[in-house]
Amino acid sequence: MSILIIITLILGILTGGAIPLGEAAWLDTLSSAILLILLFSVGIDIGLNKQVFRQIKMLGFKILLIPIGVAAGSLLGGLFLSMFVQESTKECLAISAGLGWYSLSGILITEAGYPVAGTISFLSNVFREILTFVCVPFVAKYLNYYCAIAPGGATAMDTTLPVISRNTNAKVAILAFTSGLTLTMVIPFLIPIFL
Amino acid sequence: MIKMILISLGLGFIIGYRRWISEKWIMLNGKLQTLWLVILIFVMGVGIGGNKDILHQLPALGGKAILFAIISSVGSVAVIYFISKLFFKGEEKEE
Repeated sequence: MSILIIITLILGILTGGAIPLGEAAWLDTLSSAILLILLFSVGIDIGLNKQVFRQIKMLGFKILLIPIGVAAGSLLGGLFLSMFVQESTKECLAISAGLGWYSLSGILITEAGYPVAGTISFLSNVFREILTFVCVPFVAKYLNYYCAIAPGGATAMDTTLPVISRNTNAKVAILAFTSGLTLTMVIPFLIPIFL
Repeated sequence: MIKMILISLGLGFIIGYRRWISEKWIMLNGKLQTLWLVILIFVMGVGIGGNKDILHQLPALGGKAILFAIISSVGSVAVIYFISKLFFKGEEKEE
């Protein structure tokens, strides 16, 4: 799975670099359309598992531990890196608070008056999404299913949900979606806290 | 977009839950999912490869950005690993 994803991604990037598509807004529309078809298909898979909602209900408040853990871990990572780079601690925390949402984090940090940190955040969250596509199959196999939710951050509710769902089970797929959704609602407030 | 995502997932969920599709289509759905995923990743790759902003900033800030991507992901995975061992004991890989 990972090999297929890596090869496809490289082919895509090379194609995008080789063919000048201009301001390809239709490309976003196309990827959104494919994403929606894919999520429809993921929805069918989740629905087929009849016990899934009972399992989720049994977890109760523990559902929220996942997005809290994902955010906390990411910020710890940013804090750790602040010891080695010239960007300030608050910039490093803001960069890692993007949690894969590259369009928003880049803009928010840049508009707060930190254009370099904003660009780093934009790029690092693009890379985070790519990294998630590639590493989720390994993480699910060698660590555990819950860990497969973590690298995706906010993208676990949309672009990276299919990879998570494909490599785990229906219950973890729902946890991934709720985690991504929670983080998506929190990030617009989380990033400005540090700046 | 969030609304569209919820509608797509929800529609699929209802169809799966009510078993409105046959076993044959369920099998096919699983296979098609991989195909859709590959197409999505390819198209997203094309978008990244054609993004001039990314290409221009990459030489100066790419290394640092990769570092942030890896370390913050590792941090998230590590914390979730501990949480899963503490609070989701014994259910890490159940079917």
